[in-house]
Amino acid sequence: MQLLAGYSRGQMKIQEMAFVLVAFIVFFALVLLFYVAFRGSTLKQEAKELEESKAMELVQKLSSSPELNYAGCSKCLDFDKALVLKNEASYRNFWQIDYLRIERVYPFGNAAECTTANYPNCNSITIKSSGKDFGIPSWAFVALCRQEFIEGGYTKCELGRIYASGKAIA
Amino acid sequence: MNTKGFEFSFGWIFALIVGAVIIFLAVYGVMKLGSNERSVQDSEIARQLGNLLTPMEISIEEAKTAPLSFTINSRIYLGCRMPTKENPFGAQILGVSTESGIGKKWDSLGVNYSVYNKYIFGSPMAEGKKFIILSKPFEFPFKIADIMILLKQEEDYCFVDAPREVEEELSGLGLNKTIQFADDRKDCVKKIKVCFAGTGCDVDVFADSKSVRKNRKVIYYQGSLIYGAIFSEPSLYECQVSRIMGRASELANLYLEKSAFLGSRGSGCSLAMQPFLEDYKRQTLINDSAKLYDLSRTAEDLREVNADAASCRLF
Repeated sequence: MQLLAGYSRGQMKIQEMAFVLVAFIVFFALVLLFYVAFRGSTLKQEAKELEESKAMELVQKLSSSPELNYAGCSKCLDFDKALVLKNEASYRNFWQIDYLRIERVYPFGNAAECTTANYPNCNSITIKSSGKDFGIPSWAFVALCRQEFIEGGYTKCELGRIYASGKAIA
Repeated sequence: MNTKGFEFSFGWIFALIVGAVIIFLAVYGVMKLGSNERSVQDSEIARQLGNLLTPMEISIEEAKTAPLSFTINSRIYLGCRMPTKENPFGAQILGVSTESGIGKKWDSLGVNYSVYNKYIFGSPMAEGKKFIILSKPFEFPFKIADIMILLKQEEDYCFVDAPREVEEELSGLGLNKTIQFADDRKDCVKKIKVCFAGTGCDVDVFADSKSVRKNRKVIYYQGSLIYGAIFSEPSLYECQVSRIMGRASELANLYLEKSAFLGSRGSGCSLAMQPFLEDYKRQTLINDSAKLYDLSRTAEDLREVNADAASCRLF
């Protein structure tokens, strides 16, 4: 009888220890889960901020990029080139952004997306739109210039805006 | 029987073993998390660095420099991926690793950041706290890209007999503390000697053939690529030249499309440039800087025909 009582006391101690260990493991697992969830959300936020900052820096410089710059004016954007660039598949991911659009602000003409058929009687050129949720794009004013061929040919510049948004973070 | 020994019951042995396992797992977990955290931070710094380089692109300036400072000793890794059919621009690979007082001094690289529209020349690995970025546009004959040179602030270069325009430009950009200019090799205090007239230095520049000899390898340059050739490791330079020329080919295609589009709008005055652009587009797909010299003739022809086009200039 005494032997049996001794056994059960020993078993009880082991069981207690096992419960404490399980509790420890569950506690640490919960702490780890909390950490992973918290770090995941801050990482996502940081990645989003980095993408926003990329878009913000990019809109300031895109008009100087050789793909969009109007010859002879370092801060002017070539509207003709932008229309051609829209159809260039190789440039799809060149700037690593989800959204890139150029819009004429003044004079505000026909509110339509530009195509080779309606150009220049149109208002905007969407070079890239991934269709994802890209948030609020960054923008900057630019001079939109193009070649006109009437009266011997001249350069016509208007006021425009360029919009860009970084890659969407899922 | 009186035994004054310590009784090691099963409970004690079990507790000791499990306790040791728990402590080991906790220490291992913390170290692993710390290492991951370092890796994440290094990857973030590499991305931030990529973003910070965008304002360094040239708009109205001829060249510019900007300081780049880290709060702790860091290593910047520069890599390059060659252009392919799927990605004609190749990629600039950026990696950052920061020094740590705990665990390994230098952690393995975080996630590399690939960027397609930047061209950074320099040593494949630069270590320090303070760096300088030198940015110059590369035109051949139209502007293709802005090339950037990554230099350590306390860089060890001595330019011997440098042409006046090189000395004036680099001094004007505030690089005379980073680069020493000397008339004779003997006057060099800084270690890496770059000879512009004569041979036998660590880097020899041959202005006539537009080539640079470095690490027993000869690489060729045009225009502002001279700085890339001097400061860059030859294989990194060759890869970056291929990427730049890949972009030149895509730009030539863009100008061709623009010319055709303007033609369809009633002005065919730029159509005469099309055969030159076709030639240029085809010839710029190179993977060896030695072909730059031959290509310079095609580029010159293109520049002339564009200049003659007056109001129909494409670039």
